[in-house]
Amino acid sequence: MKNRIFRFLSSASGILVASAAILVVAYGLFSLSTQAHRLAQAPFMKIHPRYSGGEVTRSFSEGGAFWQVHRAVFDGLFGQRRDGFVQVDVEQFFADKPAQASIDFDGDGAADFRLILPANGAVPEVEPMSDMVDGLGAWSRDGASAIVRILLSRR
Amino acid sequence: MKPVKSPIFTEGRPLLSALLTLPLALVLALLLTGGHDVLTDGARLAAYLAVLASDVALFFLMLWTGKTDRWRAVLFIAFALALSVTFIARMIEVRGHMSFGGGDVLSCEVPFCHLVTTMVLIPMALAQSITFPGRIEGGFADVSSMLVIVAIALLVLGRGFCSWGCFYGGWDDFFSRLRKRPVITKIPPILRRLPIAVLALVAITSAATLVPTYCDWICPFKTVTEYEAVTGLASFLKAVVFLGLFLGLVVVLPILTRRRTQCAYFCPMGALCTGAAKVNPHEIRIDPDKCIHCKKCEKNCPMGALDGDAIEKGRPSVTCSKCGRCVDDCPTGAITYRLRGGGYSVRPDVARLLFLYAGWTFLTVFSGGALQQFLIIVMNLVTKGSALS
Ligand code: SF4
Ligand code: SF4
Repeated sequence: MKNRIFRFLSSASGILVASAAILVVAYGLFSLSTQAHRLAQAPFMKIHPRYSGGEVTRSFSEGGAFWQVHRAVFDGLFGQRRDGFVQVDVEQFFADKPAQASIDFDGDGAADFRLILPANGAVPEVEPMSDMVDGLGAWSRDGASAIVRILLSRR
Repeated sequence: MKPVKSPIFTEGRPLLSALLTLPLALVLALLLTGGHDVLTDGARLAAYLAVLASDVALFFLMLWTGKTDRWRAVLFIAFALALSVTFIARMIEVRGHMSFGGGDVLSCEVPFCHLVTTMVLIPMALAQSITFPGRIEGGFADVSSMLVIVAIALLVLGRGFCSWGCFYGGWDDFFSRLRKRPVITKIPPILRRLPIAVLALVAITSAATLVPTYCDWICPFKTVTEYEAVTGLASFLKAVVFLGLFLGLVVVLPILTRRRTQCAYFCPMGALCTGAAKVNPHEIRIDPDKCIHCKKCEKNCPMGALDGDAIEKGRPSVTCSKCGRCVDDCPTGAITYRLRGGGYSVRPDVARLLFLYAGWTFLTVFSGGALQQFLIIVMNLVTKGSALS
């Protein structure tokens, strides 16, 4: 008798868990966008600055374009790394005319590099004006928009 | 006396099978709309109805014939093909080509696939951020949606994801079925542990370099989705590696061994799913007393999860993806789906039914969008001469 009750209870608990699993799949997939939105609010759900470019710290119009300068990114897994970059997003007023600006990325009042975007999507040019600036990193241009990373290193 | 396989309670009973299919059909009718109003567009409605009808029919066949793997594989393989075709079509529509360039990376527009989970776990825990150039929310294959799907899969299916969810697995599943007999029969059992080593390697190297190393360097499935544009020596080497691995692990070795070599012996996602095996309610069990040592299951297991040792222990090795082929093949009914823990006393055919409801809902809903899109592409090709209109 005791054995039969135990068997019944364990079968019932097994069926209950397996049925709950079916509900988890059906409800989870049905409410996917809601669950995804909820998860997106979690503190670990942000793209690492190595990929996102970090927050924009200043923006201005100058030399034929609108410039958005991100914070310098040296972030590693734990602390800061020696090598990093600063990302500049550029919106040219006219894609067929060059644009250029002197950029002070660390806000010390002195320009750190000059960034030149030649006309019609050609390779950007970087003129270092500080010894932290190593030169041109990854970049992309799409019509009048450009994203340019300038490589930095702490000496 | 030789033990005899007793029929599953739905086997050969069309009415009962239809009745048990009905609740799933209703759930799928709702879930396969994907939140769209399918009635507004003729092509969309046709694709929705075709996918719904085939999903429901395949489930009915699983119940009526008592066979699992045969019908599962139809949808699983179709999913892999449809996903690749629709993914590539989408990339060509958005970018004009299949490769991604610096622009997609810099603007964080690279689709996040479930395999990337293995590479972002450590940075997520330690640096509270995702080391991948994708979108957190919104857009195609965003990070949060994919992580929710992975969480559901780990919780409910465990390693079953490799046969009931993964949109790549259908490729080597397909190639492993092409030959009747394997050319290579001996695969060292130790290789089943290789995915754990690959998982550890990619998790650690990805955390150390902040680059998703498996995606960046060795994912064979780049061949059938998207890849880095070849612009220099490094990207050329990467292309050689992923193409070579696709041909070797996904095409040639599965044909020669009749095993899903990429999934069983290499994929880090498989190892992650194995890690979650204990939290999900379903498993495959073997009754050694019923075994007549015909070795059918050993020969046919696509994941190399069965051998004498496993049979003696009463459970397949960690690579088992709950595909159900051994359950179908075993002439004595020694291998069955069971519920874990207390649920072990539940009848195997009831346990199988409960697993099929969960596994099939996951596979059909996860594959539903790609399959419908695939059909729309085919309809566009036929009626308008262009896939992407
Ligand atoms: S198929 Fe496998 S478990 Fe079934 S009798 Fe043969 S050897 Fe034993
Ligand atoms: S042990 Fe059975 S269910 Fe598991 S992978 Fe092999 S054939 Fe499929």
